[in-house]
Formats: sequence, C-alpha cells, structure tokens
Amino acid sequence: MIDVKDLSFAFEGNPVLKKVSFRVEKGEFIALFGPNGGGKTTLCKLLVGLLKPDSGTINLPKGIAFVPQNFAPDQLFPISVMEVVLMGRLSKAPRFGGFRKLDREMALAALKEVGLERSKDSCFSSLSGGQKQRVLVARALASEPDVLILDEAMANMDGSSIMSLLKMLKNRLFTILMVTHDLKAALEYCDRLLCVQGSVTPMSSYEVCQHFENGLYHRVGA
Amino acid sequence: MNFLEAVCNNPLLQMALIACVGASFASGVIGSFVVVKRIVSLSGSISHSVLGGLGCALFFRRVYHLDWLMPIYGALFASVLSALIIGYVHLYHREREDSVIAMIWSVGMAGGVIFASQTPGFNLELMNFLLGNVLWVSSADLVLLAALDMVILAVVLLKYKHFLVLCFDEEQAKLQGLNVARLYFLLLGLIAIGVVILIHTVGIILVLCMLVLPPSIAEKFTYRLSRMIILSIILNILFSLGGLALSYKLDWPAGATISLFAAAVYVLSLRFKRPMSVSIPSPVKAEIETASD
Repeated sequence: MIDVKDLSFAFEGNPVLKKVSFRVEKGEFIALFGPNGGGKTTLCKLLVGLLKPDSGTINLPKGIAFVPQNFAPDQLFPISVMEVVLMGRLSKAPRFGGFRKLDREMALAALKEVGLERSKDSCFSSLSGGQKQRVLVARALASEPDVLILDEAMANMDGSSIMSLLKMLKNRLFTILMVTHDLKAALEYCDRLLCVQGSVTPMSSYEVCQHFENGLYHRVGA
Repeated sequence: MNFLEAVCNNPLLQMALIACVGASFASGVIGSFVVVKRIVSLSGSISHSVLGGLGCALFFRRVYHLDWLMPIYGALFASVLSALIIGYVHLYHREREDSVIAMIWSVGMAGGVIFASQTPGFNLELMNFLLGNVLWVSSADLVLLAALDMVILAVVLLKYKHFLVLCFDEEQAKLQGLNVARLYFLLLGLIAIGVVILIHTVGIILVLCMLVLPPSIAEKFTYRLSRMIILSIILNILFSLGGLALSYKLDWPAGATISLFAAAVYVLSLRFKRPMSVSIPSPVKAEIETASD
C-alpha cells in the first residue's frame, strides 16, 4: 500500500507540489495524468526517493522499480541488453562478484515478457527508442517489485507494443503507478486515474471523458 | 645489439618491461572506467595534482632528511586527496565541478614547482616523474606497483557490476540501494592509485594518454565493458613494450615514445566503427522472425 500525506516540494523556490495526499491499495493499477509541468515526474521521483520532500510523509513498500521518462545514456556506452536488465537484480544479487544463475534466468524471463529475449546479446545503444524503453521495463520487472512506477515509459513505443505491455501489466499482482497522456488506454486498463496538477485529484471516468471532450487531451483522441 | 638482446642482458630493461606490464593492467582497467564514465578531465586533474605531492615529499626528504619518505608516497597522498575533493564536489556541488577540477590541476602543478624551487640540488627525480623514465624504476618500486595493481584488480573483480551501473545509470544505482557516494569515491580512489602507477612509466604529463587512448581504441571493437577492459590491457602492454623497443632503437625518451605510439594507433583506429551494426543480429529482424514463428 502507498500512503502519501501532505507532501510538498518546491524547486528553487517555485512550488511544484503542495500538500499532496493520496492512498493507493496493494495491487491497484493507477494512471497519473495532467498537464506538462503539473508535477507528475516530480511526484514519481519523490516516491522512489530520488528527491527529498520539503514536508510531508511517504509510506510505501521497499521494493520499488522505476522506469524514467527520458533515459538518455551515452550512445557509445559498451553494454549489452542483458547487462542492462541484470541491473534490476542488483539488490538481490550477491554483494561481491558476479550474478547468480537465478538472476540471469529472472532477467531473461523479464526480457521475454517485453518480447526482446532474442536481443539479449545486442548492444543497448543499437536499439530504437521504443525498444530501449521496453528493456527498461524488463529491468524493472526483473527486480520483482512490490511497486512499479512508470514515468511516460511508453512514450516512444508503437501502438501494439503499448497494448501488449499494458495487457501484461494488468495481470500483475504488484501495485503500478503509470504516468500517461493516453487517457483512452488508461481508462481501459487502469483501476483509477489521478490528475496531478500541483495537487493530486482522483478523477472518475466521467470527469476524464469531460476533459477528453473539451479537447484537453485531443492528441490522444486523434 | 637489438632490443631483445638488450632486454636479456640488461637488468634495468628487464625491470622496465615488468613495470610496463604492471602499469598496463592498472591503466587498462581504470582507463576503461574513465572513458565510459566520461571523466577524462577529472583524471587529468588528479594526475597533475600529483606533482605537488611529489615536490612536497622530495622537499621534506632532502631538507629534513626524512629518508623513509619516498616521493611516491607524496604522489599517492596528493592523488588520493585530489580524488576525495573532486568526488565531494561532484556529489554535493556539481555546478562547480569544472572550476574545482581546473583549480586542483593548477594548484597541484604550482605546488610542485614551488617545492622544487625550495629543494636544494637538481631535482632529477622530479623531472623523471614529470616526463617519465621507466628505466629508472627500482625493485622496491616494482613491489609497490604489484601491490597497487593487486588492489585495483581485486576491487574491480569484486565490485564490477556495481561500477557498471554507477557508470551507466547513477539513478538506477540509487534505486537498487547502492551507496552511490561511497562507490564513486571508491572509483576515484582507484583512479588515484592508477595514476600513481602510471607516472612511473610515462610520467605525469603523459598519464592521460595511457589512461585514455587504449580504452578509446578498445571501445571501437567491442560493446561489452568487460571485453573493453581486457582489450585495453592488451593494447596497453603492446604500446608500452612497442614504445619501449622504439625508444631503444631511436634513442628517444621512453615515456614520450610510448605515448606517441599509442596516439598514432588511436588516430588509425578512428577509421573503424563499432561491431554492433555489423556482427550482431538486428533486434528488429529478430522480432519479425519471432512474430512469424
């Protein structure tokens, strides 16, 4: 379960999130949406501990996996797809030396789930933007998380990849928070929708459809 | 007398060869992390700060007759101290990192020059460290080099997967519960040790060349960091031994010849492209094949 109370965060004096409170039950699939600059990415980074809140509390399970919005590694970095996915196993692998057989099996299974097992020995830099995002999702899955946070992780993927990934995630038992602008998909696959705009407001399907009709998210409907 | 005969007959050359091979292990391993983490200027700063430590150690050794105080101890102290300062600034005041790197670079050199001016007699030792003179390595130096090599190899073997994630994705390292600050300091500490090992063979001025060029060449022939490290070690050995042989034949300074040899091969390697686009199966093709199965 995730419990956020009175969470506030300001960036260089400019408030990004003010007194945010919300609760997510175990196993829920939540969509976070809202306008650019509304604080979605900041909220994600606060949840995973990459940012420290100015005030408020966050209670959530230990095993958190995070797929960032814009991951732009050095294009020349010498690393294979499998090595990237294995990074998700670091907290479970032995402190010293290499990875165990189990870690490799888990990493390969995660790659299979995103449909990239045949690319395991490829160079990560040689993949397309969408494929890289799928590898990062596999890395998150390999860590066997209690909570998975996806920050526009599917932005570079094609439609069929997004659908198959959402179907796969829908059947998972862990809690998922997914930042998305694709309200159509969110309505279809997610249990609840939260609007992030300086604060976090739960929205019913009806309210979301109103937003949709008012052209706020016309890009999605196109 | 050709180079091979000279090696067989001259104990100085034999020790120089051992020093070159020892330094190749350190620079191949450390240099690969320097190149993939893009911290070349940081390493340059550490290597140049060493002059201050060397000058300080020589000054106290000569003026206060502290015979136990070897210049290399001063070098090690200065490089580790610089690494700690730069690491602290990188982690907690990153916006000032460039300025601090430049400051340490120049302060180290300035300190070395001032200590040298205050030290009585001609500072041949300091010049040897500055420009490199592998023929001047003593058996005590070789023991120290071997010990430092062991430290580097052991730490990297034990923490390889952690260094890989640190260099590739610091955020992921934090999410996996790793102490990124400690790991970063450890990496900088290893760079500091590697720099001290290298100044014996090529000298302070040319350390960067041996630290950066072999891994940069190796990077063009593999897309795995572990293979890049092995290839870098092999290239370092080839450059060191080849450069030493050339310097013997041409009667040129060893350090400078080794560096020029490495630089020439690096320029030639610019023609090559990474194998990822030709020798690995296309992931897109693989997916299409999977779909058609």
